[in-house]
Order: sequence, then C-alpha cells, then structure tokens
Amino acid sequence: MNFTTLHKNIEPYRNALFVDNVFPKKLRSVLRYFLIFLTAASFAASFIDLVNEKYNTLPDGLFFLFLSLFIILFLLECFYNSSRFSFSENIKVEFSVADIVEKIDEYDVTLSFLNSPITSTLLFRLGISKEEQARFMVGQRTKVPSSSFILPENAVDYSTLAHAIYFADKSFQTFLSGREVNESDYKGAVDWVNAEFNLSMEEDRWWGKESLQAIPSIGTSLSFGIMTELSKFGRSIRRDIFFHSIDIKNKFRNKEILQLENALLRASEANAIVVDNDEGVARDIVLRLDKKIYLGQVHPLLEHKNIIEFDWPLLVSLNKDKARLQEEMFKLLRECENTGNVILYIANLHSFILDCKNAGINIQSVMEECLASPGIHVIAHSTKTDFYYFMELFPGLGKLFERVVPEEETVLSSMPPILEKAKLLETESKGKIFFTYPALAEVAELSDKFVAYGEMPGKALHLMEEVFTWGMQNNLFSLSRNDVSSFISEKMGLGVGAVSTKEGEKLSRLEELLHERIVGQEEAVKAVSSAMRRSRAGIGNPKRPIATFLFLGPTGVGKTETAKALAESFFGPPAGGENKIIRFDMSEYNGADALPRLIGSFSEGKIGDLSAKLHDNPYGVVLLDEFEKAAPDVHNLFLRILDEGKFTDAFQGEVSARNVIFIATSNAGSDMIWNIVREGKDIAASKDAIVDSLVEQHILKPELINRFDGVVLFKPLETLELRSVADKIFEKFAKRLREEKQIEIKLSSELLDYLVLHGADKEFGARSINRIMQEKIEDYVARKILSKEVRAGQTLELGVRDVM
Amino acid sequence: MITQYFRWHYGPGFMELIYLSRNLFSFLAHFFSFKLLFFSLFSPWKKMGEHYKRGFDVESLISSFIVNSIMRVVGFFARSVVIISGLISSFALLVLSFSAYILWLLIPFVLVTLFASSFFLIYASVI
Repeated sequence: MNFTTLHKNIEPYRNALFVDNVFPKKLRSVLRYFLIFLTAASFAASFIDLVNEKYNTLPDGLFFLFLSLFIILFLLECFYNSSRFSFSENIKVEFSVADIVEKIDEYDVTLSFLNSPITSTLLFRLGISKEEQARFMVGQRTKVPSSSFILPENAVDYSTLAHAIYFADKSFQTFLSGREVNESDYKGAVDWVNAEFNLSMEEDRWWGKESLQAIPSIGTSLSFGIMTELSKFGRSIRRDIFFHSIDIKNKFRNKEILQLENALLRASEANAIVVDNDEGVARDIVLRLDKKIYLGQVHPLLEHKNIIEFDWPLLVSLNKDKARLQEEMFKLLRECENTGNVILYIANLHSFILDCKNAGINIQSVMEECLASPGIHVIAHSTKTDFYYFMELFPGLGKLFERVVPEEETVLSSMPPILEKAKLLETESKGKIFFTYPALAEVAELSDKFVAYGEMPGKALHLMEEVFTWGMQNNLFSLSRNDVSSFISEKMGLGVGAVSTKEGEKLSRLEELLHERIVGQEEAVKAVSSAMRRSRAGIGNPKRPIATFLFLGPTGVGKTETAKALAESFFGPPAGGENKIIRFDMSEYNGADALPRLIGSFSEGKIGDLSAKLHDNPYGVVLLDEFEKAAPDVHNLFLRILDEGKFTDAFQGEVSARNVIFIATSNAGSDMIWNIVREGKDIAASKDAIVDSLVEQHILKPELINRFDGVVLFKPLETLELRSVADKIFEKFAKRLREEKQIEIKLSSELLDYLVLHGADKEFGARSINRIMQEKIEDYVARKILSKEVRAGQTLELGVRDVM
Repeated sequence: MITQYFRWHYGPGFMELIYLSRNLFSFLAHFFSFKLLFFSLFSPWKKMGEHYKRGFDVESLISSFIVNSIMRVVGFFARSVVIISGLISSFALLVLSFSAYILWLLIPFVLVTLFASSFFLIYASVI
C-alpha cells in the first residue's frame, strides 16, 4: 500500500480528525467542564427565582442557553468518538497513523511524522529534547517523499509507519544514532509508546464491552463461601502494588500462565507448582494469571476465582502446638474448598513443609489428604533443588502438583515487565521523573551483565528501583542511558557505559601503568592490557568472563604481582584496587571435598567459598594460585566457568563470573622454562612445547588449557631486572617508613647493587630480593629504631658498610 | 460538515446508541452475576452450615437440618434481593434506553426549542 491508498483508507477517521483540527480536544474538554459549571449555576439561580415566585427570568434564559451549548458539545464528542474508535469495526489503520497521514507533507514524510503528538512522546522516551528535535527539523537533511514508501496491504499501525520512516530516512537514522539511539532502542520505544497510546484509547472508551466487563461484580461474593481462616492467614494477591501495572496484552509469561490454567482445570488434583529459584518469578506468573481472571479473560471455570496468598509463617508462629497447627491447616484447606472460588498460593512450599517437619509436625499428610480433592486449587512455589529434595522426601505430595518450570528470560524478553515497572514507578513519583527507553534497555543489559545473583527480569527490576531512587535524590526529570551507567559505575565501582576521556587515556597506556609495578614480562603485560581494552571497548564476549589467563613460570617472577597490578589499574579506586582480588590457594582444594567447598553443599547447608566470594565481590580479579594442584573435579568445574562465565552452585542457583578476570598461576613447567632460558632460546617460541609437556605429564588437561584466553609464560628475571625489583621493593619500604614512622631513609646505589649481587637467587626471583631486603635493610632499621638511634623526623642513610 | 453530522446522527450514531445500551445490559448481567446467582439461588448463605454427623442422632440431625435450612433461606433472600435489584436496574436501563433513543431522534428539534426559548427569555428579561 502506498500513501495515496492509505490516505483513502483513513476515511472513517476523517470526521474525528476534522473536529480535532478545528476544535482541539483539550479545549473541548475545558469548555465542557466550564459549561457544566455554568449550567449548574444558572439552574441554581433559576431555582431561587422560582422559589421567590419570579418567572421567565434571565437565569432561566441562561440555563437554557448553557444547557443547549453543553448538549451541542456532548453530541460533538459522540460524533468525534464514533469516528475515532471506528478502527475496531472497519479498518486496520490506527488513529495515530491517520492523524499523521491526514497532515502528510508529500515531499517530506518525516516532517509530518515528527510533528504528530505521538512522535513527540516517542522522542521524549528516546531522551531527545524538543530543542534537538526542532534543530533537526529545520536543519539540513534529505527529505523523503511519500512516493518512496511501500507499506503493508492489510494493516498499518504506528509501529509499522515509524519503522518504515526509520529505514527510508537515512538522515533521521543519523540524527538518532548521534544521540546514541540504536535500531533496537528505536523499535522498543516505538512499540512501547504505541502500546501506551492504544491503552489510553481503550481507557477513554469506557463504554466498550471489555472496559465494562473489567468492573468487579457484586453478585459473585454472594455465591461463594465466607473466608474466616483465609482472612486470618491470607490476603488477596490482587492487593500487590504491581497488579494494576500488569499489561496482559504484552503476552509476557503466556506459556507458563497457560500451563497453570490447564493444571487448575483438571478434574482432580488441580494443583500446580512453579519451580524456580526466584520466588518473584512464580509470584509474577500468579499475578498475571490473576489479572486475566480479573479481566474475565480465562476459561469459564476459572471465572470469579480469587487467588489468596497464604501467609504460612504467621500460621506457624501463632500455632506452636502440633495438633493445633494441623487442625488449623486442615480447616484452612477445607475452607478453600467450601468457599468455592479460592486458589491458594503458597510461596516457598518447601520451607513451610520443612519448618513444620523440624517442629515435629506432619503437615504434608494433611495437605496430601486435602489436595487430592477436586474442590481445592493450590499454586505453590519451590526452588529447583528443594523441589527435587521434597519430591524424594514426600513423593505422594509431589505427585499432586503439576510442575511448571518457567523459561529463563533474556535481556530482550525481559523488557515487558521492565516497562510495566517503569509505569508503576513513574505513577508513584506523580510525574516527577521519567525513564527513557534507552535507560531501561541499559538497566536490562547491565543488570544481566553485572548482577551476579538472581534471574532476569528480577534483577533488572531491583536495579530499576535503585536507579529510580537515585534519580529522585539527584532531582533528575528524565533518566537517560548515561544516568544508568553513571549510577552503576558509582555503585559497583566499575567502568560501564561510555568510556570517558580520562579512562580511555588510562586504558591506552595500561602497559605503562602495569610496568610501574611489574618488571619485565613484556608478553604478559601486553596480553592482559589488550584483553582489558577489548573488554572495556565492549567487543569482548559478554557470555564469558572479562578475561582468563594461565600464568606459567617459576616462582618470584611477577605472576601474582601482575594480578595485583591489574586489579589496581583496572578496578582501581574507587572500586578498591587490590581489594578487588579474590585469592584462592588451589593446593587447598585437592581433596575429595574440594568441589563442595567451592560450590557449596546442599546437604550440609553450606555455601561454597567461590559462590560466596563471587556473591560479595562480583567484579574483580580471581587469582587461582597453584592451579595445577587442584582436584580434577575442580578443574572440570573451571571448564564450565571459563567457557560460560557462570556455574550452578549446590543450591541450583546460577552464579555469574562474567565480570571477573580469572588468573590461574602455576609453577608447573618451570624446569623446562629454566632449561630453555639456560640454552639461550626464546621462551615465547617454546610455548607450545611447554604446554604440551604439561599435557603429557597429566598436570593439566588440554581442553582446560584451551579454555583460557591466553597462556602467558613468565621468564626468570635477569640481574638487571632483579635490580629494578630491588628498587621497587625499597621504594615501598621507604614510603611505609615515611608514612608510619616519619623517618626518611636513603640507600646508596652501591648498596642495592651489593644486595642484588650477593642476595639474589634467580631461582626464587623477586622473592629472594624481598628476603635479602628484609634480612639486611629492614632488620638494620628495626635495630636503629629500637635503640632510639633514629627518631621521627630524622633521615637514615645506609651504605654497603652498614649492612656488611 | 453539518450534513455529515446529520447523516451520522440518524445513521451510524443511532446504531451506536443501540450498541451502547446492549453493552450496558450485558454489563448489568455481569455486575449482578445473574447466572451465578440463579444457579446458586438455594445454596446456603456464604456456604455456611453444619455437617450431618455420622450415626442416627435425631436431635443433631434436626439441629443440622434447621441450621442448614435457615442458611439456605437467608441465602435465597440475599440473592433474591440482588437479583431483584439487578432486574429493576435492567428495567430502568430499558426505559432509559428507549427514552434515549427517542431523545436522540428528537434532539435537533429539542435544541432548536431550547435555543429559541433561551433567546426569548434573555431578550425579555434584558428588555
């Protein structure tokens, strides 16, 4: 369809468009209220005259005049609405499209599109100001004529038109991308604004069948039983603040809702259990089902049902007596049956049963007895691990539930609930603050990437609340993508979002920064610096850790120091620098209990070291010292972590390790490295031979080695390099002394040469320098301090003779 | 535009008025839950009642029977009140709908009369 045909197809809307043009909607509305007031006032005056036996007065005349004007306006509104809502009956072109098409500029379609009220809302949601819009409209751009458009034959909605314009008008595309609005943002915002517009149209049409059917009936309560126990230990899930924001038209979780409906429609054992680690997911599905019931869009057998959330912690706390609790539970379940319209929602069913079991109460037998009855409908929730454990423990009870396992949501599929939540938060703020679509997309993306625990969309919704509160505190009117990334950078101490000039500069000279701490080891420094730049530029694989390295080399050559330097420069202040290192001595994880110690143990209820540390510190460097000494099970665990950037803990929870850099160090192959160096060969050229020897000796599996982004060889330090190490160690010591004891220390160059010459052991690298410095210098200074030969404010000068 | 309006007023506009009253009738049926109340007309009030105990105990049998019968009677009356209110509302809607149809057809003439009266009264009172 072209624009000429489209123009003909908007005929039914023409009356409404004409009325809107000559007499704007807002003005009509104001005038209507004004006339109601004038009619009422003149009627009152006329009535007073009537009481005073005065007839045919001015108020009588005015009353008739205002009444007739009001009737005219009322009829005009009927005429307008009849035309405006005619789309549902006849044609498939939306009113918002008709509004644009009616005023179309044949030579510049984009201009007409941008001038429409709905597009103003769209640009606002994209974070584009009116000034920017105006500048674009009057600025130099290629005009796209209406003749260049081909639109779908059967239906044209606002989204279709907006997308067609986006693809046809390259200057519009450039304008948007200049404001960091990509195609996906644009598409999402268009669909969002369009859905909101259609919803407001539906709300305006209060006399429509759907709107009227959504009003709760008064007759239903008379047909169902009274709730005494349920009112004590339960509450309607409809009271949830999120309930009214749910838009079932977005079809979010439709599959799971349908599964629940089917389970509840069974002739007997009409119960379902939602198995998911996040209770929020189960609750969301139940809320959506309840919304469908509320709107009357369910199977007739489920109409008028009322979902009651069972407050079992209250029941358990109020009934310490075993028999009494069983009796209360029995009464409650029977009441569900008697009322005839109750669906009971039990969150964390496993905890309820296990709590009762621990208290010596056999609650599952009461439930087993009642839940088989056709009149009782229960929707329960359990976590994955607990569900299987509970199935094993109480197979009879498990069989009474139809299992619903919600699908994992992606960043894109999480957008509908995020948009619903945005609406709720905006309403709560009473229009003080708004989200732009790119900000919401950023929330979804960054929460998926940086929040280690939890599932989508739950973690995005949680992050949204935090961003919203932050925005309110900072008196922001609209939250943009940059606001979201600034908040996350501030909160997590991570560089996210656009790279600032300062950060870019720091990244480009990362090698230099690392060399402030690391001596030599060019290959290692280069490899980690490149990986960091790739990650920050956003071209790294988001489904894997930031970077993974296997550092091979003899002791004391800077493997651990590189990890520390990296933590300091990449996760540097305010993130906490070196504190961002999670260090594991993998030689401790070589027993039979190694894996449970890392990922936790369900039977013992213990959280694993790795899970806990990643939970507390999801961004940083994980240093795996002496990696080769870990148990084979642990190596297998790391096969998955290095590949997917996540693992499943003992509680079936997914732990993300995508925001960390893994550095595994190993001394394995040191002998070979030494031999290569002694022979004067280049160790970089012998990397394959070294790696092969590790595989041949069954130290590390080839598939594990291949999972690392890079295997970095650390060569033994030469005398000159050891001299630099000595310098650095001394500088650190001098700094410490200056800061803590206010004592200045100066070392002659000869002394450092002497120490390196006599104390350095190439086999132990920097460690030997450290040791000799402690033995000779630190010990000497300690004696001087203790004998009070040197005090605060003094300078201590050391030469070779002093330490000989 | 005025011709357009009159064509709409006596054509699709009038049909939409009928459509609106049809919607309102189905709303009343939903609001008063006629179907549900008819089917449960003789059910006990709020499903309250006593269970018949096992064994042959005339006293408890009669007591339960009396309580249950009372609950059914109360239920019947309460539901009847709602059903009757619903029927009255439906009748009122029927009358209102017909009045609206007639008023709709006559409204142009009513408006002319109202305007004429208003001008006459204003003119008379000012003079």
